[in-house]
Amino acid sequence: MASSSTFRAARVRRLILHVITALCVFFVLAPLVVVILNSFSSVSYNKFPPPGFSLKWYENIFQVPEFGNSAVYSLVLAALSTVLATVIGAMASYAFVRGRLFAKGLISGAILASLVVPKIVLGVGLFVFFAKIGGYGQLWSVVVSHAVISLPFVVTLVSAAMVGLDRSLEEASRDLGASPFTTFRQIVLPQIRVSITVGALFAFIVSFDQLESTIFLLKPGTETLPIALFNYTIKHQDPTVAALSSLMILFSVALVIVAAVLLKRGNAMEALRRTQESQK
Amino acid sequence: MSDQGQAGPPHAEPSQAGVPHAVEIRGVRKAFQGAVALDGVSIDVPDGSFFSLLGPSGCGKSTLLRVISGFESPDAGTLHIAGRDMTDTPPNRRPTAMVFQRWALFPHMNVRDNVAYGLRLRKTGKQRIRARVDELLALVGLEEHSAKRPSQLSGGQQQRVALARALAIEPRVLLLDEPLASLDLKLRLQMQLELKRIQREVGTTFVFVTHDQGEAMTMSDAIAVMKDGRVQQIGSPQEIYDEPRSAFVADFIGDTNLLELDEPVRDGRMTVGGRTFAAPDRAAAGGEGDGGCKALSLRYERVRVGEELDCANVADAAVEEVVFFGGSIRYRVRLDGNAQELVAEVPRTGVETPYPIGARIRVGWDPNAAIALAS
Repeated sequence: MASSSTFRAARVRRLILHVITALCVFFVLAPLVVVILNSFSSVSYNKFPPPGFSLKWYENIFQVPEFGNSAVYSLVLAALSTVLATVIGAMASYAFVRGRLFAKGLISGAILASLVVPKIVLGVGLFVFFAKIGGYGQLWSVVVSHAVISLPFVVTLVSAAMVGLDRSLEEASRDLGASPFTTFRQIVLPQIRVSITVGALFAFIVSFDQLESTIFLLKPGTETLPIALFNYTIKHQDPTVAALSSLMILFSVALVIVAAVLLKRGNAMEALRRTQESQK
Repeated sequence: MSDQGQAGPPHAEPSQAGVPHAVEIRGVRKAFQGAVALDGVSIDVPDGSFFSLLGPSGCGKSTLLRVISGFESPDAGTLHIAGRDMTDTPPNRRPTAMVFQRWALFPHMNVRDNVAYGLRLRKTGKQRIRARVDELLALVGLEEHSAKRPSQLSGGQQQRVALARALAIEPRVLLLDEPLASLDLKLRLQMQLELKRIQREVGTTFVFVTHDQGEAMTMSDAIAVMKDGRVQQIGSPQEIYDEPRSAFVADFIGDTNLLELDEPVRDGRMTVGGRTFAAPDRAAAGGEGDGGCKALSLRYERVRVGEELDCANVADAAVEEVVFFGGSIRYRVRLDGNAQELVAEVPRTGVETPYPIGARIRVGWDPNAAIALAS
């Protein structure tokens, strides 16, 4: 029967789809699971599954002073570069979507380029650049570098939100007497607030996790948390790294969940508004 | 109504001493990447009037409104608002306010904050803002909805909020860009009367853009009919309806038969499709301008239908199509002996028997019921 064979083909297709999806999820999560399980290991060598349970590697994190110092440095760095990337990214998005820019495609391409350029290449380039102009090893040069790497995330998210904005709202504001700046603050900003917040969260995570580009930019002695981890791994093989990594995973996941909830709420509100409008 | 809006050399003379026109547009041109949107438009909008810009889509009426509001700057020409040159003034420094086509209410503010927006920008005192917003919400009948978000309102209500928000800043000129286009028919008719009432109450000059000739006729003190970036004619609704200057205007406003003359009018007689009829007196006197009378506009409702007709122009015809309109019937008929078609719209009396398709009837019209057109 034709109909039952079509039905069976559809079922097979769906089964294949499920298997592929399950494999994808498995390969993404498996390393994380290994790291997290190993962080509770009772032995100092790598053995999976761990032979026993202990929290000593979490305690050990606090015995290594480099971790504390570098964590503070990383948080400050991420906070500063997030502010920079978010402010510039939001303004750039507005210019891309609304402005009459010269070479718009070229400029937005340049901003998005750091997504595709290998970070290690970018790191070498930034090192040479800052060594030349005299910012090597200083906080501000690392802040700028991280902002460059975070910028594409902010620009992509905020531009997408801005494309959906009704231009006549801004015109209405101008028409009622508002300057361009007041219009941006009072009318545009409240409507893209969710996207900007989510963009900022992504920028923070990107900066906080950044290793390859940063490693060239810091003088010996100053470390970000990923660099401290990297250096520790070279010397020691114990699960302290796994414990610290687990904490960082937890922190990143928490931020992503916050971002997802915000986005979902924003989308839901937007969807609600659209359906209500279309019903009229 | 002034004649200055006629396509032709822009007049440079200032407005009559005393009261300046609310808006004076002189020789305004605007092209978008080579596509001409406004091709030398000159219009005077009298202070306190309800003025409509009417035309098919793409005629330039919305562009003209955006030039008045300041969202587009003209390539050439000048714009005066209340006697002051505003050609290069940014929109936020013009004494105009706009009601947008989709109303453009701020979705993140409630009704009260939407209406108060312009007043807050002007640093008006809190008490005064509250009083003024209350007054406006009363004017548009939305007192009970002041705390709602725009998304919680119906289309008609949103339209009223947009109106109140624009009127709040006491503009010299209120600009309306087809604000009724997205409302359903019944609500649209209701809002037309409402807009007219509000305009009379506040006395502000309204410049209203529409492609709906019925809407323009119902509300306007004066109408500028536009086509291809040019003003075709400016006049009161009655003038535009009764004395259209071109076939375009005659056809665009109301429903009309356009009859082309075979040759110029001679001795008060004219020939249409090989038949001779009495010409309107105006056409006999030479028509409008030098071109003479080239065509006639004969409104559907001015064509009479029946067995016995006492008008000067009568012809035998056959009914080809019958359309019921409830209050009236439209007959499309073909005159005997030639290919000329006419449409007649006849009021229904309730006791008549409508003619069936194919019926032999007589149609006729009073010679002066037809309008002589130069083009």
